[in-house]
Amino acid sequence: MQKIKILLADDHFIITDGIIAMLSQHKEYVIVGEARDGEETLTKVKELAPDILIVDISMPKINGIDVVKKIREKDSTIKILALTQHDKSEYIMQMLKAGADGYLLKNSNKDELITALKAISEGNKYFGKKISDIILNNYVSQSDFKDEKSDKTEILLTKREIEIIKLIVKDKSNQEIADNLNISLRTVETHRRNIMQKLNVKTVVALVRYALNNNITSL
Amino acid sequence: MKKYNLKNSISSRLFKGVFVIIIVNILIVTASLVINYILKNRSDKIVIEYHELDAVHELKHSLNLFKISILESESPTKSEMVTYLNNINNNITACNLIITNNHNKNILSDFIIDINKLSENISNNIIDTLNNEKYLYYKDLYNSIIHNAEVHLDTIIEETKEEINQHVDFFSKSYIRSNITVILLATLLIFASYIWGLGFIRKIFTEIKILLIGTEKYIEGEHTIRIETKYDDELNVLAKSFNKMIETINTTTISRDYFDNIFQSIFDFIIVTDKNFNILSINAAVKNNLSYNLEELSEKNINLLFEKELNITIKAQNIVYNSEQTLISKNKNKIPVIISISAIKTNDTTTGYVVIAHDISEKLDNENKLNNIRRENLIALNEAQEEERLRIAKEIHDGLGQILTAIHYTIENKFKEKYQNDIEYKENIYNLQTQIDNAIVESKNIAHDLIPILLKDFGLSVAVKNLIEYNYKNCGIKINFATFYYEKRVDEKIEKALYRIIQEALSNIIKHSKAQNANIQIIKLDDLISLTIDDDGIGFNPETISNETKYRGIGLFSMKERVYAFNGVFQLNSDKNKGTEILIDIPIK
Repeated sequence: MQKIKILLADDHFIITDGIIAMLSQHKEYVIVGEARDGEETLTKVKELAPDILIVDISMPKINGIDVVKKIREKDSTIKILALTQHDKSEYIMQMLKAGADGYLLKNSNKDELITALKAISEGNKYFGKKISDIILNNYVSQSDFKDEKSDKTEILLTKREIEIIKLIVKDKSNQEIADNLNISLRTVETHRRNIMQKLNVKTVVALVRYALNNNITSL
Repeated sequence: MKKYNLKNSISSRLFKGVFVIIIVNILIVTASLVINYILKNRSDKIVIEYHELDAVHELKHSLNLFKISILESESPTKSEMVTYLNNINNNITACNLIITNNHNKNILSDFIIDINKLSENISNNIIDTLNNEKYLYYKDLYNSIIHNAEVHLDTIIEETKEEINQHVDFFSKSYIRSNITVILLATLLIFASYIWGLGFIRKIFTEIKILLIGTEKYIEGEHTIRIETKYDDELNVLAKSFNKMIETINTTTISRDYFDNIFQSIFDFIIVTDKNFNILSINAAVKNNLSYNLEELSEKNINLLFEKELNITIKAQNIVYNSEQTLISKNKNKIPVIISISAIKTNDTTTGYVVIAHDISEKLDNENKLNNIRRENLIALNEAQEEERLRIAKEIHDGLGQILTAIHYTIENKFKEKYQNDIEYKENIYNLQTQIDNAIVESKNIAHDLIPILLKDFGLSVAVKNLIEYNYKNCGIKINFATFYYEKRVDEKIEKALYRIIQEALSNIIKHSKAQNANIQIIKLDDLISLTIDDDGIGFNPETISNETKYRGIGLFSMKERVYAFNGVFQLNSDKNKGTEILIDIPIK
């Protein structure tokens, strides 16, 4: 049976050594090389043509996410497993978007590593339980946010901004608005400018139209 | 008016001239009176001569009567003859009274002798009438005597006539001469008076003309002109007064010019106003730096020149105002100035004000430069701090984390399988691995608290989202975070600053505000990034912040400093129970 060639990309020797030790009892895997930074990883991937790349995110020169992106530009067959200490959803999502087949935290145990390697070498995706939870949470919170958006007005306006819009609709000058709300003229000007930018309107007429269409105020 | 002692005054000259004319006039009148007298005298003599002539003619007539009676009549009686004789004698007496001429008197006395001889002869020799033969002799005698007497009388008549002729001749000659003399003298006098008067007036005119020319020259601008006159008279006094006046004008004018020059040359802006602060005059600095001329500003209120209206309150007696202001030029340039306003007083009443504005652009420039340096230092300091934090965070996250991971691996490789069947050791190894996991999580948390690595890798939006997600999810306050047109990241330093501000603001909101909702918005505009943070909490009075809660004061101070470091604008609005609102604008390139 042909052995599966693995390239290890991590700037920490103790990590690569640990992985090598973990895989030493599993003869179907062979470590063909180690890379210490992003650039070296790219050259070694080209030179050694491994079946699986185990890559860290925090690496000197080019980070793991960008390395994966670059590899995926040319090669879609190589299997990539991200092995990193980053557990924030942004890193996970970015890594998956870049084209990684699996995402594993470094403090995962040996069995999980072997399971992950097996899964991706067979063409499947693999995330540990923890990572799956994070991905799910991220999806849920994003859909939450979207729901909220479509529920109310399309663009979130603060209480203060709505107060100002109402006064603008009533044809009050900036100074009158300032006096009315007991704030400075400059504050009114700042809010007014921000509102126009948020709603992407250039004129007061468009602003009033928006306010009426979205039931912020009535005439 | 002063009394002048003049040698040759116009009035004395005029007086002298008129005096001479009067004297000459008197002389002429006297002369004509004398002439008149002489002429009258002469005409009196003529009258006397005529009387003489008349008397002699009377006498001759009586003699003729006698002669006719004797010689022509046939028989003249003695009594007739005596009557005629008496008549003759009466006439002689009259003649004697009238005739003055000695020679004629002599002739008359000869005539009287003849007549006396005749009368003696008649009385002695004639008895009755003469026509007797005996009296023939007497008749002839008497004829010759009468004839003789007639000759005498004729001589007198001739002489008297001669005298009359002489008198008439003299009279007429004198009359013409005296007339001519008087006319001549009068003409001469008129002519002399005219010449003198003309000269007199011309001289005065000449002097007046000199004065006039001098005045005109002065008006034309020849301010050094002095008037010289030859005579010591009133006009000379006038000329001297004129010179003195010019000198006075010159000294006062020169001093005015001098002060005007100082006024104009002063580097500071000087504006003189009336008591209602309407502009009366400006100096060159105002004209040059504000591009206005006096016509444009005259009578206009001084506030036209200032960005903010002057708020004038009387402070001291003369200095009424002293503060920083901004002057606005005609083409809308702004000049920062420090102004002082002084009252101009006349008899203790304020009649106007002098406004002096000193350009402090340079001072402000220096302050700005200092501020910029401070700002740069602050940025550098913050940056260094962030760098150091990042380094430590990485060290902990990557270094310490990796070592812990490595220990985890070692246990996994070296011990786990070996003690797989020993329940007690298997339990211990599991606990050990859990502790190591906890240590890894803890190291990550420490690293994250030092600096969000996410901020560096994924930007402000992700970092803030993460901050809220992990630190404030269950804090009891609904925190909305939204970004607008902020897809592309801005300068990392600005992102770090904004992140720290949001962190600080959120910390304040959680600790103090008692709010239910908070909004954080990041809006990217063309040339700036705007951050707004607001809450509906209890708010506070920004003016008493430092006394009330020192900690929050420091928090706000560091927020402001971070904004000012990037030339940004920091606005904070808050009031008791009105919530708090922070508006931040930071310019981006």
